[in-house]
Amino acid sequence: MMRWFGGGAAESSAAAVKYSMQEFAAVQVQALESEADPPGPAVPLGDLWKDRGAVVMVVRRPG
Amino acid sequence: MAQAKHTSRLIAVCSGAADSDGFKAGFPGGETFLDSTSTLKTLLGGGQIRKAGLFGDLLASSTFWSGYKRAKANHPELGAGSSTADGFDLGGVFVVSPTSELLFVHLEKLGEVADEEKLEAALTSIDAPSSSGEATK
Repeated sequence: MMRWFGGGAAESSAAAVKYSMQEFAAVQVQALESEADPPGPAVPLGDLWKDRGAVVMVVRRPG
Repeated sequence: MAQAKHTSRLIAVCSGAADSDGFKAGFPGGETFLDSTSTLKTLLGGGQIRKAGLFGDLLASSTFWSGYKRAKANHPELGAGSSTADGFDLGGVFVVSPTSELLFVHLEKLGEVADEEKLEAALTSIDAPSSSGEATK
């Protein structure tokens, strides 16, 4: 089932955006152990929160 | 961020490997992941990567452009940077439950921080009943 969220508990700055958590969960990410090592294999982001939930920080490049 | 212990994972998603340095320094217990296409940033922005407000001001500034052209002429490597991930691409923070319920969202805005009370409440709501100390910072 496609799940849509927005508003409610979310902060007002994000209230106007309707998010599809299915799309969020499908984003492919690779583990980064260190800058020197190659990234790990791609995994769906949703796999990372399915057991315990998660706080996800989407990081801006410094500077 | 809150000092209470929580059972959820703490994850940073970066657009480049070098972007994770600040996160690792501030959150040594967190995990870092690479999203090289900035797909998550795009989704978080509702379909486009959100840019810092200053960016628009810079674009409109003739002083900026003349300075940029001069700098690029002297330092050609400036033109070789990634166009999909730079310091003006805004990120954010969200909390998601194990059942993919979005409990909290903060879209980054320069000079603002996420509401700690709401963030704390979201994390508490998904804490495992018998917290064993495995926690986010």
